[in-house]
Amino acid sequence: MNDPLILILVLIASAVSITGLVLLNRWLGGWQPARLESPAGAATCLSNDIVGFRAGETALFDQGTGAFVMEQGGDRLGLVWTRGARFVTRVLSDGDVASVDREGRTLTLKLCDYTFSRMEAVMADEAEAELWAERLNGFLRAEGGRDAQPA
Amino acid sequence: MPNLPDPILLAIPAFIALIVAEMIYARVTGRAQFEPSDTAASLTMGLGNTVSGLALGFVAVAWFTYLERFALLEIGYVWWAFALAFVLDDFVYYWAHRMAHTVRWWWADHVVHHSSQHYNLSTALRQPWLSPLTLKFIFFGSWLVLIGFPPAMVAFVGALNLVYQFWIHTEVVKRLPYPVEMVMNTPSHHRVHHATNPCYLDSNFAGVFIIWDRLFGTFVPESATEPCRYGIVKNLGTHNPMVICLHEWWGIVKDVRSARSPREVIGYWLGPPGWSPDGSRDCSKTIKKKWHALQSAQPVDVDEQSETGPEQAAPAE
Ligand SMILES: [Zn+2]
Ligand SMILES: [Zn+2]
Repeated sequence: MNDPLILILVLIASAVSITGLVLLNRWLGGWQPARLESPAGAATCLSNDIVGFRAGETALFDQGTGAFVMEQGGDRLGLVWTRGARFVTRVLSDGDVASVDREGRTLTLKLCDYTFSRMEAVMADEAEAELWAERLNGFLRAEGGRDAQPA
Repeated sequence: MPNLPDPILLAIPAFIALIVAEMIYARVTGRAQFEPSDTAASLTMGLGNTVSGLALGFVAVAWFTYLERFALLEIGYVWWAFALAFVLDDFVYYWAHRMAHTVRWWWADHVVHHSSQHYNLSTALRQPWLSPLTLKFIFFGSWLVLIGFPPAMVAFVGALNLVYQFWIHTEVVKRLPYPVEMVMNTPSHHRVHHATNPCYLDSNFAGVFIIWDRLFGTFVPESATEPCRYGIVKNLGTHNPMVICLHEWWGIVKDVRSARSPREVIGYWLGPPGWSPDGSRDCSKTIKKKWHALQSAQPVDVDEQSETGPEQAAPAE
């Protein structure tokens, strides 16, 4: 690898191989976007990732792309969100939300978490969107507050 | 000094061929899964790791060249020295890997490898970009050179160790014959290592030989009733390679900036991942503790739970 020419060739070959493998993966398929089919699915996701989280009131997003879940007997809000074939979860506490915007039944949520900073949720109807926007506003970060941390 | 080849460079064509084979096998049988954006992220991290190794590796080379003069013995390039170096290097790897999971400074680097929620051969190549900056090579790489093994030999057996670990990143191979599972690190053992199920956290740190985990009490077998869920405790909401590479480093910087005492600085920097002064965040130990408490309070039927679970990762027909 000391010869710059060999080095450049190896790097070019690697970049071409990566592109080829990803294109092959796209062509072959073999995966489906993750979808929540019921509140029980959202509860399982959260209890798997956050030990002791007991799901309460739940609202699934349109097409099952995620869910908001209030904690039973707690003051946290669980979030389930699809990322490709997998789910990503977060549990929100005071100060974890940077902003909540609602347009019709669509909520745009920005989190104080640089590993999961923004998500969009299409709710069943405007009333439900309004209800969860209000709840999420309860987790807004105070002005000048400290950013939430990922683990 | 013999001109030792670079095993990783030589293995790259085999890596690519095996990934293609696993992708096709996955498509045909549904016994594995690849997702393009995840595959792209893993392979990009692998390429970045090679580039950064070339750009920053000179620091390690300079260190070992300097250290060589303090070696206790003069061990030559004989076959038994290669074999001994391979076993001792694997022993050192076990401890380095264990520390990479329990000291946040090293976890910030190693977390990259664990950041995929998939487990396939491309995951093996998901490697960090900033490893030389963690100075891990000083703390763990120095021992064999100080004993007297030539640095080139140490680098060679270390690379062989990494080549071995490639093939164990697969769901295709279930269990191997008993003697193999007893001695060697296998796909089954390493799946457990990549799992975030509380009962699997912080286990199976082996590189090549699983005997180190059996010896030092960190071995956990894969259970048929507890399917592995891969990733990290707080999975990333993005496939962006820069976030994959830097997120935990950024976390350390932010936490250290907010520290109110030298104790807090040390805790955030060198404590276990998830450490916080008031214990409000979860680290592996607290997660396991909570999980065990929950299990003894209300046993959960895992099979039943997975039946009602979400539609996740279902391979296409
Ligand atoms: Zn690891
Ligand atoms: Zn691994």
